[in-house]
Amino acid sequence: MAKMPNIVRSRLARRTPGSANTHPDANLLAAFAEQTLLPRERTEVTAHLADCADCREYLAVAFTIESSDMTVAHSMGAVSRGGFGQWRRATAVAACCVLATALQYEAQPPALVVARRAVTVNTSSNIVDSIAAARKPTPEPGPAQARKKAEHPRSQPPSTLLAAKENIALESEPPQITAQAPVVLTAPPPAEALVAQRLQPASADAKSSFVSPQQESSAQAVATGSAVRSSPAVPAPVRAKPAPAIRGHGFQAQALTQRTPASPTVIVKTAIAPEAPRVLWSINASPDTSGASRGVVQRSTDAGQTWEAVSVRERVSFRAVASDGSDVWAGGSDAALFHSSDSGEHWEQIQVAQEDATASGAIVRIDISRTGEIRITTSSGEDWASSDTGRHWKRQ
Amino acid sequence: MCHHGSIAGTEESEAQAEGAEPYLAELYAKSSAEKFRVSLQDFTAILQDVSGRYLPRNATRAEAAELHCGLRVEDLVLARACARGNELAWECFLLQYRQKLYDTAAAIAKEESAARELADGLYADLFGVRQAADGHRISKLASYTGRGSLEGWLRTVLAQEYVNRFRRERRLVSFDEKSEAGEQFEAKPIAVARVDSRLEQAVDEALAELSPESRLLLASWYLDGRTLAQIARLLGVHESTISRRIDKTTVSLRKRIIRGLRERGMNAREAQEAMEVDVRELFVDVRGRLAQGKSA
Repeated sequence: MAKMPNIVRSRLARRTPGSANTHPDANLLAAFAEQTLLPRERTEVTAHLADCADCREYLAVAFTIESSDMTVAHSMGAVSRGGFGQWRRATAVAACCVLATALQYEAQPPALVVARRAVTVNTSSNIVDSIAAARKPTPEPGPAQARKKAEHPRSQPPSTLLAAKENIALESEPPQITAQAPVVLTAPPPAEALVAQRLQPASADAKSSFVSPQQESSAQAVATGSAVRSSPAVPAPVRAKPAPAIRGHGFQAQALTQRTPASPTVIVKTAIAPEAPRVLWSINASPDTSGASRGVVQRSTDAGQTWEAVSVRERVSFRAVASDGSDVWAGGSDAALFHSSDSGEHWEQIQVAQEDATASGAIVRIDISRTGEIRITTSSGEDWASSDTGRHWKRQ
Repeated sequence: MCHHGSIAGTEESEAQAEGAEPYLAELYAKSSAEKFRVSLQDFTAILQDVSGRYLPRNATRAEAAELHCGLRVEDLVLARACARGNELAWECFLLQYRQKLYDTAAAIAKEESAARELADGLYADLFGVRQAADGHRISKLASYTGRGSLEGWLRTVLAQEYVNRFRRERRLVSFDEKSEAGEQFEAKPIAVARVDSRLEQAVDEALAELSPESRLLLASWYLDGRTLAQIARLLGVHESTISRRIDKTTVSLRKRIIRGLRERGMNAREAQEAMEVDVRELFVDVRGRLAQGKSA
């Protein structure tokens, strides 16, 4: 990084917000971090933060308390707010062009999934339903309802699809809750499962959601910790109306989602294997309900129409993925690098190190050259290369 | 989709509540307010309270609608229902947020006892241990406005409490206070030197010309020592974008400063040398200045 002269650092530190520039309250700070401020407000808060070390510290403590390898998701096709949106769009178009020139497609190019929206899940309504349902007797379903329930998992009442596991010690005596069916508390499902649960057809929030029953089943499987293969009988996937295509080098990138004001957006980074253009790899960096981003490796075998999470290693937040035929490389937090030679069925962890040094930071980029050399970049600015499938590494 | 309606300022609340526009009804349905026995009228009043805090009095209806449609109405209703003492709302709040509250406090404070104290303190404020004159509990949840998620708001409130408590206990002094007290500089038994005022002016001018985003990036990276990942997380962009932007801004800033110095009479070499001056090697002759002040 470029060096900052000490005099500049000193004068920068002496700047203070003007007297008319009041400190934003917790509501505005949280909204700033979640990118939900109006453009005018964002400009004002940004200007304040630029000169107020106290407010910057509040934000940093509140929203960067996880490890430094937290992924930030941004949408290539999203409607933007504030000045950084222009960079996002430029980056998106540039990325599409780079991919298009790097990959020479003879056949119909696969749809490049550039964004997938994770609906901001507020599970309060489901929890309310659970509690309210638990308080009154559940009516017996009629024969038609029972058959419908058996045929389609989506017909399950919301109260059975959800919730949070904890031992609540209430300050006051809790009311007695009786229920015909026990209220089952399980661990908070990951973002994908919550997305599958929350998505409803033709609703305002879900207008841009893209989900198929296959994804839903895969999301539920993710919640239970197992990898998922494509189910044999898959009905036509539900697709949202696509946004206008982004053209470049004869390669069409379709933004499948739009951004609504109250929800975060998701960016999917893709790796495409030229030998199998319908197989796509990506990272889903959608934040979970705690606001933390957990990168999950995803694979599509139908050119991006549907996606399934691929279980590589728990507790690793993945940031980058690259593939060359059946060889797939995925990297993430704590310089964790994994390699699969069978298109993601089995994974092997690879240590990135040389005699006197070990890679540090999160792996944020993986490149596979035409000669088969693997190059990675970490969040701490390190570049490493291996020309023997990761057996030996050399820092560049 | 929110259809912009006719709700505007607080003075129209009574009439508007009765003939609420479609978007309000949509938001009301989305918020699950009925489950917490919050009527449409109450809900409308909550929204107007929020718009009263963030919009000018002459805000248009479209602006108010835009603000309302961007609110986290589910969280907002839950919080306000809790503040009113609704039992069901508290059950929901506890199920959803109590563990997260303690987890966040643990992540902030690192130490278990401090984390528990931090979380318990906030929980008490949320529940409302103080009472107003009419006997109602004063709950901190009443100040939540739905601009961001309730969870994000809780994290921010915890962070503020922790930082403020840490400052009180450790008696941290700001950079400005230190420099004014002269603590930053050590007296040396050599000739007095001071920063060229032209340099200070050129630097201040160049910094003022930067956009707020650019200054925020520089402050976060160079002053606060945040990582690229942390800055990217806060600003909602990719790390590589942050890295490029910091580099570009720093280079551009140097050029502007040098241009400013040259405009103030320095040649190129002098400007470059002036830029490399290390303020830590300078000192201020406080006694001499005081003596000058007395003699004047």
